[in-house]
Amino acid sequence: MPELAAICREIDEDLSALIDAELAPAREAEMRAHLDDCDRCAQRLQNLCSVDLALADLAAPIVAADLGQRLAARIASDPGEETEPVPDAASPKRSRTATPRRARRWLRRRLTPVAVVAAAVLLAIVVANRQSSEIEPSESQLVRTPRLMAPDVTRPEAATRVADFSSLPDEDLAVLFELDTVEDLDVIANLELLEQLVAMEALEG
Amino acid sequence: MPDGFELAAEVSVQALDEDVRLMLAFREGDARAFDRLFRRWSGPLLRYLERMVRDAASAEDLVQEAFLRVHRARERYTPDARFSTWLYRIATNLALNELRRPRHKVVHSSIGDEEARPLVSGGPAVDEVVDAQRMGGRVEEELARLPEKQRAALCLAALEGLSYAEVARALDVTQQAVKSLVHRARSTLAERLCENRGHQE
Repeated sequence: MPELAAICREIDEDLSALIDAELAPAREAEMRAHLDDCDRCAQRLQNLCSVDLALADLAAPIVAADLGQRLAARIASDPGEETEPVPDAASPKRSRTATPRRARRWLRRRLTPVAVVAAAVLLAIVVANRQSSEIEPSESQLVRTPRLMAPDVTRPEAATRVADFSSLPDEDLAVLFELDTVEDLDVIANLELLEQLVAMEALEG
Repeated sequence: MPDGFELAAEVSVQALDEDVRLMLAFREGDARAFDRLFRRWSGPLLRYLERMVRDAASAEDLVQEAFLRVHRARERYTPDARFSTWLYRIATNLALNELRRPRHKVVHSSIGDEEARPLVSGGPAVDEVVDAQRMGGRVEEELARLPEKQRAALCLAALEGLSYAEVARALDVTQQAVKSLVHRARSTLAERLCENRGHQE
C-alpha cells in the first residue's frame, strides 16, 4: 500500500465524523475542500458511506404482537427488586472518588427540615450505640466519623443546631453519607432506608 | 419539590422531547404514558438489541427487561437527558452483560482484534459488493464480528441516529472514544466487504 500523505491521514480520521455531521463548520469546510481535490480520500468517503447504506437496508425485526402483554405480565409479577441499578444517562463518565454532583443536588433537595431532624435523630442513635459499645471503633470508623458534633436528641437546641447541616460544606455531607464511595442510586437508597428507619423509630416511641 | 432551576430544566427538556413528557406523566401515575413509550420505542430497541446480541429471543427478552427497569425507576426519573439516551444506555448495559455470558463468547471477536486492523487503506467501492451480499446476510455477519463496543457505537450513531454525545452517555465513554469507535467500525466493515468481493473474484 502506498504511503499516505500526512494530510490524508488527518482527513481520514475525521471522515466518519463528517458522515455523522459531528464536525465543527470550519473543519467540515476544510474537509470538503480536500475531498474536492483528492480522489483517494473521496473514494474512501464513498466506501464508508456505502457501509451506512448497507446497514440501513438491513431488515428490521418485527415486534411480536404479544410482547406488550408479556411485559405487562412480567411487571405484574415483578417483586420490584433491582439486581443492578438503572444507569443515569445524563451523568458523564466520572471517577468514583469524586462526590457525585447530581447526588449532592438531590441531597440538598431532600434535606428538608423534617428529613434533617429525622436524619439527626438516627445519627444520634447510631452514635449513642457506638459510644455505649464496649468494642473500640475500628480505624476506618474513626476516619469516617463526620466532623459534625454528635447531636443530643434530649436537648431541642442541639437538634436545631444540627438542622442547619443542609448548609454544611459538601465535604461534610459526603463524609456523613459516604458519598465518595457510592453511586447516586446507592445514595438515594441509603437515604430512603435512613428515613424509613427513623419513621420506624418514631412509631415505636 | 424541584427548585427553580431544576423545574426550568424539566420544562426545557420536556418541550424538546415528547418521550420526556410521557415519562414525566408516567412518573406521576399515568400508566397509559408507559404504554405509549413502549409502543414508540420497542421497535427501535428490538432492532438495536438484535444487532447487538444476534439472537431474536434474547433480544426480545432484553427489550422486556429494559422496559421493566424503566418501570421500576419511574419514581427516580429526572429529565436531564433525552429519554431515548437513557433507554439505550439501559439496553446497552443489558446487551453487554448478555454478550459476556458463555454462549455468546464464541461469536464475537476479541478486544485485540480491535487494534489489529489497519485504519487506512484504499480499495474499490463497496456499493456493488453490498448489493450482491445483501441477501446473504454478509453485512450482518460482518457487523457481528466487530468488537462489541464498536458495534454498539456504530449501531447507535449510524442506525439509531444518536449524536456522539448521546452515544457517549449510552456507552459510558468519552465523545472522543465514540468518534474512534465509530470510525474503526465503519472502516473495518468497508474493508471486510471489499475483501469479500476480492475473494469472490
